[in-house]
Amino acid sequence: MKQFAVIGKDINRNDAEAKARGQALYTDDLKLPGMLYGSILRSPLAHARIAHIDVSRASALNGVRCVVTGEDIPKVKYGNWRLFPDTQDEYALAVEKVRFIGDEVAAVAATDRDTAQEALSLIRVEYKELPAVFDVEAASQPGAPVLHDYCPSNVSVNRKIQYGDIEKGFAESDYIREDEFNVHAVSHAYLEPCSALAQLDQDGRITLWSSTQVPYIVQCLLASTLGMRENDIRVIKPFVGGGFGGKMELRTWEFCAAFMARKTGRPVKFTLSREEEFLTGRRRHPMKIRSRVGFKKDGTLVAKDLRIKLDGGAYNAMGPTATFLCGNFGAMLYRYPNYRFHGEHVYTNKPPASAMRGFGAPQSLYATETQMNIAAQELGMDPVELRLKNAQVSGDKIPDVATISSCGFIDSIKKVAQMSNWKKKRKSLKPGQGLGIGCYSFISGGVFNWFNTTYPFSAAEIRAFADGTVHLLTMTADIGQGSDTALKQILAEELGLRMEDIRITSGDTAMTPQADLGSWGSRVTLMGGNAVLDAARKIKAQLFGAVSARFNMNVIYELECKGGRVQAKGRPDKGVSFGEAVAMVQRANRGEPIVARGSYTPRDKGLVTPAFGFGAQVAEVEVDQETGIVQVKKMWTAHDCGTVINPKGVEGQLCGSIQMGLGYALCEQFVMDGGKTLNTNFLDYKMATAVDMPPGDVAHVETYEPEGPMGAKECGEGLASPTAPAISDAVFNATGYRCTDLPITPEKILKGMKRGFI
Amino acid sequence: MLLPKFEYHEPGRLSEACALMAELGEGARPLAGGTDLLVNMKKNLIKPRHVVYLGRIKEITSLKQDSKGFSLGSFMNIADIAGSPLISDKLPALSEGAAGLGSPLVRNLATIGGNIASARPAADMPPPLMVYGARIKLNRKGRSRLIAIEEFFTGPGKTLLKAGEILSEIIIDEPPVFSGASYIKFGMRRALEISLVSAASFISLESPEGIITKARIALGAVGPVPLRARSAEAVLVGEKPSASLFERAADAAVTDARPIDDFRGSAEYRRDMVKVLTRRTLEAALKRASH
Repeated sequence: MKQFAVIGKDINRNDAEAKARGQALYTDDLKLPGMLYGSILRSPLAHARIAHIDVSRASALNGVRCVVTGEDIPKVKYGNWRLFPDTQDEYALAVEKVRFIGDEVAAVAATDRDTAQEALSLIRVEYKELPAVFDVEAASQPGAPVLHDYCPSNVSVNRKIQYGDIEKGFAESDYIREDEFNVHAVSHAYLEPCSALAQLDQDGRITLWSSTQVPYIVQCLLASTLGMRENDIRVIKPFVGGGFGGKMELRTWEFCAAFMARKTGRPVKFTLSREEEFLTGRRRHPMKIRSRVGFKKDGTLVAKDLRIKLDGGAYNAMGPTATFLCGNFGAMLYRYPNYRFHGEHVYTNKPPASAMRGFGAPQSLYATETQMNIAAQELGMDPVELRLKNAQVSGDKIPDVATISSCGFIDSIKKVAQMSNWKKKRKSLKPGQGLGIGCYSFISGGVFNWFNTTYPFSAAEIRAFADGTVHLLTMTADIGQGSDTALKQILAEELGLRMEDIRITSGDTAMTPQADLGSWGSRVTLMGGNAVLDAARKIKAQLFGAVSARFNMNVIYELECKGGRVQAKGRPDKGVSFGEAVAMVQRANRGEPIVARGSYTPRDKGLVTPAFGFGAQVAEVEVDQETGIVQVKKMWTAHDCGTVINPKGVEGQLCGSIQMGLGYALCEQFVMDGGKTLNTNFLDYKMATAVDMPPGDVAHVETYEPEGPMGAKECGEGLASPTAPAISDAVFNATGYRCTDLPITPEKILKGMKRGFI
Repeated sequence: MLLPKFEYHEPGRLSEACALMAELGEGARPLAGGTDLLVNMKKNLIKPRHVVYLGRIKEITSLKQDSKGFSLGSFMNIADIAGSPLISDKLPALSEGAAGLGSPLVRNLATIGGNIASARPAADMPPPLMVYGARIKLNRKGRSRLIAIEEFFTGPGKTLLKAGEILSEIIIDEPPVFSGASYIKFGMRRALEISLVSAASFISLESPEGIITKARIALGAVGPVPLRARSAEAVLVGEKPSASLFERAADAAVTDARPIDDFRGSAEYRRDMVKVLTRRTLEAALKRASH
């Protein structure tokens, strides 16, 4: 394997010190002179027609500078799926109708937060309540209440995948298993609530600071909703305290901050409260999953028929992508010669679901992996052996998706079984103890251009200076996942520099090169990294030319950037320092500084992704058989993310994934009464705490991904999937209770144990 | 939300505080750690016109021990109680209650008096205090009264505390030899939790191997107020401890509980947990009693 100087090292993160010292500024930390504070009035009803809104008393309140409702805003719908304008179903403020409890009805900007809050209480809204629907089955029946006039069926997206001959496949199967799984909504629960601050400049342009994963998407959609030109809007992403998919769309407060800044001429800031986040925030799609799989006697998979209804809530948000992807994930791990998928995205009168870490995979793979474990048991096979028999390998073609390039799946399964002492341990467990397995595959960024961008998917600009430093500019958004650090490492490696030689400017749509689609789909390392490499190679070409000329080198010499020098490979005497090389090029160009631009757009990479990450995880649990409380004792993970750019960063992603996966499996849920969320704080929304976290071991099964920068691919989201099925399998192993409707609460375990469920 | 407007008072002595509370009447609320009061004020659930801070009153901030037992000032904070070797040694169930209350940040602010006076059904201090037979001192201008803590609670958030009255002291008799107590807080996670059910048990033995002479069991979060499980206690008194006796007591405790279904859990599951926790706290109390 290639020897790296910076790649694969535990480099401290770019932002670590600023965050540890409390010097990192998040959007809500920003204050501008004359700034107004915004607040949003939300619907108390799940479904209603707005008969009348009276804002006169709110507008008259001392300190209130601006009140807007749906009547005041341009009637331009937005949504991330610009390629299909039909899917764009949202206004920044409700027009005519509200569709869920928390739907945004009006916004107020005032000189302080309390005045803004008080003004909200003075707005009188007359609603005509409509029947509401909260369940995907009820919502997709004829005669159900209709949420959007354009979509009388409430099924806003239909996605079908089919290959092979499904009927023939089942006819040839020796063993067929059919199950229904119901998986629930969970919150991103990022620690930084959504926040946006807009400022109008003298020329009428808008600058928006926002806690977002997608500065470019916000810029474009804000322009279209305000009727402005894209480049009259500058979106800046300050430090962001987590997104996990919950901050990847244009949102009401971003629009309102900009719209109200234009109306008042003063900066306007909105910051959501935690209660607002839990009551109305985006969430992971609940899904009703019917899965039928057919096997040969020996465990070979023959056919799979997957039907999924996604509970989209009141608007599409990123639902179309989740609908597409959950079908792809249904057949991404194993070889299914015959496969059929039908996904339906259904509107209900609940807060909209959207992208959330894993983007359809945690749901789809919970079903896939649990069913694999059921099948292994019924076929009398070890779940590890059943997986090894059917696992995707490098070169496998998933019809309509892609041909898998690098793939360390089999190695990951073998490794995790070895690390956890699977075979021996599973046989020697005491009552109440259990061991379970779950696996995943995930995309390294998406190929499908739903946003209909006219720019490259990712871009980078590098400016090199004679003092030996470089400046990397990229629109990629570091939202806490560490992409600034990873991209700097890739650049440092390519140019033979140290981390401290590189300045990075990222996530600013006016200052960084067009464009980058944002931080989602585990795309940044691969796509942003490739753009950085592309630009770096253009810099190198110029430096190599100058150094070659300087030493009058034979054309057959290979040159390299290494250890801060530009030199002939194997002949360090024929070379100069990086800075000197830059100076030479600059002089040759009569003072013109060296600037190079690079980009990456996946082309001819199928319909889904250019590269796949894989992995396997084993959970050990102990279940208190009297209370049903599950204690996760240990997690073992073996995974393939290609070349590991930063081991500490990857392990951070893994720990976070286990924390989220554990919560998804055991304790996190929105407790709903119809359309109303009852648990709107961290006391009652049960995220696992530090003391609930199990210890763990990890093995990086490194492969070299030809499409990835330095061979790297994703590690951010795939890992969010295996934890829930692994824990669920371990609970079954411990208690005999097999959970098909997440979360696995103590109450369900006790009931299941009483029933003797198999 | 910022706090609603109020007048702030900071008396230095208990007598001053009582005089102030008497003068200000219904519109005044005492402020201790503020982890409940200030949160509810920010949510606009209560709007006292006057807030009387108790933290300057030295008389109510300390733990005292004499030949009869212990006196805890109502302003003692939970972290100090959890960290006290004396309490951990002599009143371990109280120590267990304090250690699991809220988060470290909350424990640093919240006080034992506040945890009692806010009268939340799931509060962590009342069950252990009830099984230790604690009495609380309520002061008003010119006089004071002493009542058993379990009589203090009248409903969720409701107590016998009258306008102008301040909870100043918690008095616990030294537990007799061959006695032991235990408290278990039960929730879905191991920190930052509110009890789904909680239970405390106290037993006193005639001799290390002897019969149970006194038993008190208290249950939290299974009724409008923390409850004594009196029929379970009746099962125990006069009997020699055994697994089957504890099992019968636990069954009886289930009949004493009055849980409801709510978004945190079902009544049925809570009843099941009352049984488990009663038995487990009895077992732990016995271990301590015969130690």
